[in-house]
Amino acid sequence: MSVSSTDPSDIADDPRILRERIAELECERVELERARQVQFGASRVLESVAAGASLGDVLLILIDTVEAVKPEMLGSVLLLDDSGKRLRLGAAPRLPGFYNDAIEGITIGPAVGSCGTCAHTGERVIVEDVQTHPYWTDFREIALQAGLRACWSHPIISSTGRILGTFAMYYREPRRPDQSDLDLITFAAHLAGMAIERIRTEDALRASEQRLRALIQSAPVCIHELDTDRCVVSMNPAGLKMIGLSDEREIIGKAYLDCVSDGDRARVAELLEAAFAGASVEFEFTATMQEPPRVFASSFVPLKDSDGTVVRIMGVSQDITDRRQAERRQALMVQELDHRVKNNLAAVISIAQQTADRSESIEEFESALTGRIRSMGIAHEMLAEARWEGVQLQEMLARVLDPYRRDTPDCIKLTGPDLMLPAAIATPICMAVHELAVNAAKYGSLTNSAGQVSVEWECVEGDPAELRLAWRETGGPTVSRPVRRGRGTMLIERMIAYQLQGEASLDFDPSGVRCSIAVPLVEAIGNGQGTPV
Amino acid sequence: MTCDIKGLRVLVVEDDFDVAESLRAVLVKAGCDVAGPVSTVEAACDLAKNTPLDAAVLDIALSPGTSAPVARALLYRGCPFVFVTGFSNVDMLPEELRGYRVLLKPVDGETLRAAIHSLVQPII
Repeated sequence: MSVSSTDPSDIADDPRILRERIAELECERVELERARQVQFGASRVLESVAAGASLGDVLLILIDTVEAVKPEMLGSVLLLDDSGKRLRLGAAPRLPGFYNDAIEGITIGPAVGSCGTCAHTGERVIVEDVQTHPYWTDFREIALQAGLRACWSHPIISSTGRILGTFAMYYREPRRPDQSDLDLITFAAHLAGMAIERIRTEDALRASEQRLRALIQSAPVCIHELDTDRCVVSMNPAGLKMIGLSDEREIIGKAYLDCVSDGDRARVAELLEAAFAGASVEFEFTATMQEPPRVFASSFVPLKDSDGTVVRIMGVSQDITDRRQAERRQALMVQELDHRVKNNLAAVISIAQQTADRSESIEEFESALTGRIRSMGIAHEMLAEARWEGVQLQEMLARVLDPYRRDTPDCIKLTGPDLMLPAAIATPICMAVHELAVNAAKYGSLTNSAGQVSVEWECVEGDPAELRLAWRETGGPTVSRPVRRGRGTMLIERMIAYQLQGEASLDFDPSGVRCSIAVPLVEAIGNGQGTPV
Repeated sequence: MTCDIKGLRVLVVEDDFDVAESLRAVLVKAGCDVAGPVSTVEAACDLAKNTPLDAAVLDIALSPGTSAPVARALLYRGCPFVFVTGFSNVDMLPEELRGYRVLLKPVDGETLRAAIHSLVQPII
């Protein structure tokens, strides 16, 4: 209650003083009522912001509040768009639609009505009569149509001093603001500024969260969070899939270090503590979530609260097991290839020497040498196609024997199971079969059309398993034991024994040459089902 | 100077049949008595420990393993040796064996004869 200077004893005596006093009190009551309304309106505005109302709705509540205090007044909020050059309607519920449409998107400037000028200068603009004021030259006609005469516009300024828009009060008659009007428009613009800033910040935050969530949900890496107990609190779908889980609940609450292999645990524990001390770290480790264990490349990024205390760790992991394997395989392949190329060159020199020693003419030398090198080439080609992981015996035999089928494709029969030969075994087998074919084409059953060659093989279980291959010639000319063994047939027995620790025996049976080869399959091989032995 | 290695007994360890044959042929032509050739660590160690030898030619990569055990057996009895390899590096060998002479495949006869000759030269 305001303190009156008048002595209460005078009031009863003088009706004039009494009337004045009553008028004063009435004024005070109106002011108080107005202040109460403003305060009530302000809390409604702030509540609606807190409740997550849209900016349009919040501005309507604000204007409602101000219009309730000043019933003849028509309120308007215009917002500067992203360009900072144009005004857009925020809210103006009692201004005519055509008027709002007309000023929508107007470019601000030094003399563009009250609001356009206000947004341009950042200063309050008071126009008591739009019909006479120079700022309104271009808008007099439409203002007349809308029945607007006075327009006071106050800038809405952000906490950082940026102009966000304008809060305007229109009247239907020319009018000059009094102090309470100026106080109210200042307060309303301030309140609008707070609401706009807060809502825009929240919108930006929401959009940012949405982007982040979309990223986490779709990223093909394992993204997880750890709490201060060093336990998993979240993991994205790709991460769950990576470790063979389908439900996040299976991992939530699990101690992170329990997923790390024994060998890596101490090191990762140290890095985890470093992350909780505020450092970003990168590391590789073997995880124990799956069998066989897989290798991950990971990073920890500390998430801090406003005090700078680390409250969470964001972890990102990528399964690099396959990449590591591929790298290892590639290194081995390059090494193997290097070795093989040089060994092959050495072998070619050796084959040339031996072939030369046993050839009677240069033509014989040439044909024998190219044939032998060709058989090496076939094994090499198939190994290269299979990326040095082995070759299918059947296909290798088919390729090496193909030139000897001539016009009778049925003259060579290949019978046996699917069998993947390791690289070290494939080449000698290929060369041995080549030598047998050369011999058959020269002296044996491939010299006439009635002759046949059958190649049968089997894989005998054992430790190690054994490849048994039988070459049988039938229907050819009668075989007599050669007086002088060529390099080729000699090679078969010795090479198989020497290089593969196997056995080969060549039998010059009169009805046809027979050769049986037994080789231990010492390297990993694949069977027909594709499972490694 | 010709590299006279006539009469030397030389061990040949090489897992590739053709390469072994080639090495053997070179040494036989030069008048050497060839022990082997052998293709496995086991057979090579047997010869390295139990037969008279003047020098040895060792392929580094054998299938399986390497000729490192053979080299150690030879070092133990003081028999000089030279490595032969198709690889461009000697990473497969244990560190203490990396200082020894390595011939890269393919090895021509002259290089092999010279290498063996230098192995058995008396140190003056």
